Amino acid sequence: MEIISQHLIGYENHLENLSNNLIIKSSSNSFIFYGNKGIGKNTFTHCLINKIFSDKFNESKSNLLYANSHPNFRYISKIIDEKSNKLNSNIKIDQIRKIESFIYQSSLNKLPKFIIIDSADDLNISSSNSLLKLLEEPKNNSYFILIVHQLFNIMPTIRSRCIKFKFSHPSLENFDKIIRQSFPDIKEKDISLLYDLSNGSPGLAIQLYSNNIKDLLDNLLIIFNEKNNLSKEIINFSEIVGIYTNDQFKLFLSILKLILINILKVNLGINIKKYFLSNLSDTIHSISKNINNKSILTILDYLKLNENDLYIFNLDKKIFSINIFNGISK
Amino acid sequence: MKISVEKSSIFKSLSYVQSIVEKKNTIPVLSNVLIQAKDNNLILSATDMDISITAQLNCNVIEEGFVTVSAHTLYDIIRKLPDGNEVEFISNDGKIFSIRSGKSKFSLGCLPKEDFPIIEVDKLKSEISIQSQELLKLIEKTRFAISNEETRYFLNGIYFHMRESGGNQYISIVATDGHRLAKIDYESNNKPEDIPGVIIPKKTINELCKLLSDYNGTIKIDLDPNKIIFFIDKSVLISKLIDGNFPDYQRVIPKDNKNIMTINRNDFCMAVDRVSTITNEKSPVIKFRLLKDLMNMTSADSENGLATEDIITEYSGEEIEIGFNSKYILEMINHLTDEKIKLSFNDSSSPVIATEDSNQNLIYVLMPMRV
Amino acid sequence: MKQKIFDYDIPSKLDIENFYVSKPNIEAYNYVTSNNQIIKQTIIFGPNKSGKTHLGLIWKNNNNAIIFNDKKYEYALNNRKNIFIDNFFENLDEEQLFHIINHCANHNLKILLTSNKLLNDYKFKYLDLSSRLKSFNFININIPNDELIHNLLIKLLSDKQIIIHNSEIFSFILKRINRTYENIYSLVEKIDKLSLEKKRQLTIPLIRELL
Repeated sequence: MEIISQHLIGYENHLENLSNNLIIKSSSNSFIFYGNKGIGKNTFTHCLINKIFSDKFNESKSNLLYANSHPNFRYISKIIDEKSNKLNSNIKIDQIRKIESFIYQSSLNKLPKFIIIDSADDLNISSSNSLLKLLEEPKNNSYFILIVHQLFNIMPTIRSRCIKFKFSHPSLENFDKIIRQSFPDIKEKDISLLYDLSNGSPGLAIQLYSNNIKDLLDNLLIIFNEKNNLSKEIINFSEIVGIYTNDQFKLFLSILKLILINILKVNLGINIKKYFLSNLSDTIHSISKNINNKSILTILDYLKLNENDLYIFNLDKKIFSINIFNGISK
Repeated sequence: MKISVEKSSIFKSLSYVQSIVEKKNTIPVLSNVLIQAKDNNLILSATDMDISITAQLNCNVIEEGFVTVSAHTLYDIIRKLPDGNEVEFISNDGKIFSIRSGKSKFSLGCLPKEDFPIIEVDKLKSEISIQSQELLKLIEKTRFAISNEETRYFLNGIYFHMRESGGNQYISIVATDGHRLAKIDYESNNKPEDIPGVIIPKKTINELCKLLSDYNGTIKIDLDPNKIIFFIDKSVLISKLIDGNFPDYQRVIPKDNKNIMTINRNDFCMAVDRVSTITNEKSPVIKFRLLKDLMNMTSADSENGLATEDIITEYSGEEIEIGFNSKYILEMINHLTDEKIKLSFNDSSSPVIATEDSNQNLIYVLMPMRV
Repeated sequence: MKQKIFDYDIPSKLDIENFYVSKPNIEAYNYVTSNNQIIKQTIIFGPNKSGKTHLGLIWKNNNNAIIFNDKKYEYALNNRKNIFIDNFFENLDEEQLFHIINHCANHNLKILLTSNKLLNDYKFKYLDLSSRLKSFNFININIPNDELIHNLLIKLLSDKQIIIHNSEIFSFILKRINRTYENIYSLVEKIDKLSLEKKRQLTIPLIRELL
């Protein structure tokens, strides 16, 4: 299970505001907290509920809240399928139905009931409809918080029932603090690189760093500088990413796309230096000499067509990766 | 923590608490039982966040402490140990839990006890005392009529409330699924206004019955509109309640069913059973024709199958033809115990009432099928 | 052969929190909740089951009014209380109503009437009464739009404490129902009865049997 930090950095205004007003003054029982993935919405939400429980109701069991075993709290996210032992691709309708008994039974104490959906982007059509039904029929003292990465992923009928709060990515200063919480010994240089690659999302950055993003980046550079198609390097590299989980592979592809698009910009004569804190822009400049725009567009086209199928049909990631790099005509 | 205890005594207590733990749980700590050793007592607690059960037993505590371990694994281990064996629990740091008995030794991983939700026993507004076997009987007579269909959550439990009738106070227990209703009263000294009416969920009822059936003595019930606590011997069961309004059931109990039939319960039961042989899920109906001191039962299926049987009754009311679901009729008469039971009718489209003399406070109501 | 069911007759929730506001009824809703001290005499017109009684009760609670019926005639005249007459054409005693209206006017009291019939559709014996009524403030509840049908279905089903697992049934119903308040109401009654009779959840196949 994911461990949620009990220490919130940033969003102080949101916290103060919401903890004071969410329950007492709000006319709605449902809320959407939206913003890019990995910027701390879940950490914030846990912290918020903890604050409401402790400030308004003198409840001191924050450890239960963070272990998701608090009786007045349900945390819904994708779970691991028992049969296949893999993480489900979405939040199933059964998980939403389980909330019903939570809502339709009394509360063992005076505390309000909170339900977090993390993330509501993962709801499929039937679980969305099931959730919608619960949102439409407000029950006293039950509050839904939907964590959302991309608002357009959410059914409009759900969106319209919720009060929405936008979360922006943290400042570089806060980003630095958050990263150092997890990796106290990290170098300044690496932090700026992570900031560039993750678009300022600490959650994503931590994921990248734990997945040895620097090695991956180095390997990518070798490949881009390699002259032959189907070289040993490409096969070796594909071997490595071939065993990635879907989430890791998504991460890898997002980095790849970031680099490709910036090469494209360089080749079109756009100055990319201002977009980057780290020396990534120099690196991109150096690779750009080896790759022409046509092959970049071929790769991007290939990704656009096939990326979804890769996850849906569980295709071989090694072959997928070889196909990508074969698109580079030197 | 270090304790030793006799196998059968911990097995019993463990069986109460482990049964509410869901085998598959996305939150690992909820699959666990919390074990506390304190003052020569062992306290076991488990919860599914709706119900919490705590059982206490005497044991030899060598070193006090807490630990949480998988309820089902622990239960399975204890179950397989020979009866009469001494069992030893040891945990030094709360991370590893060892069980020793005879020549067997097990080690289980633990989860932090801080993550385990302890549902508090707090002081509630109302209090009732009742004999365990009395309460068990009240529940056993009614629980079969609880609805299993989840669309109407307020029917997925028994309605437990106080009411006044003819100057006496009663605890009334009612269950209904829309087709039938079971109600039983129990005379009590509590005042109706002191005790809120509550709907106790079916799962709680199941666990409660297990605890009640093993104990003979007075139990205490504390309740308020949100919570009910049963103190049974050394066990405590805390449960949420169904957050809904139970329907006004009095209005569906007919007051003036004047056609009364007396019938031998056992004969009736067997006859219905025979005639129902050719009924099925799709057409479960048995037609009853009430004649003077005689009743004719028939059933038919869609493939021209037919069954019919006459049975002697004591009846002098109107001639009535009425249909009932055979499964409901059987369940109803099986929950009565007298040699002779009374069925009272109004007409072919109104509910029947079943009662027995030895149990004046019990009433079953069943809606007919439109034939 | 059908299993007959108990008629539990679960009461509707008629408080202000359970009134669903939408475009067709917002004018009436705004009036009954506004505590308007200038307009003293109002008639709310609306089709059957459009929520007139519910609105009237909200108004009555806000204005500390009494509900008038012919048994309360003397009481109403002897007390200085605002008056609510639900569905006033039903058992109409024109003379009594005339006096009640005068009583309210004389004592600066508020009066609210509701009706499913327009004034012109009724042949008044007392023309004075007819002209008095014509000077009232009129509010119309219009036929329901999609939003209101949707909300009404939710309200009526939740009054009956029925759980719906899937909100797709609403769009299914919306496409097929005759769009009157009475139809919505009677459909919910039928859905309630059928699901209780068959012990089945509310699903599209179940509702298809009724539409």
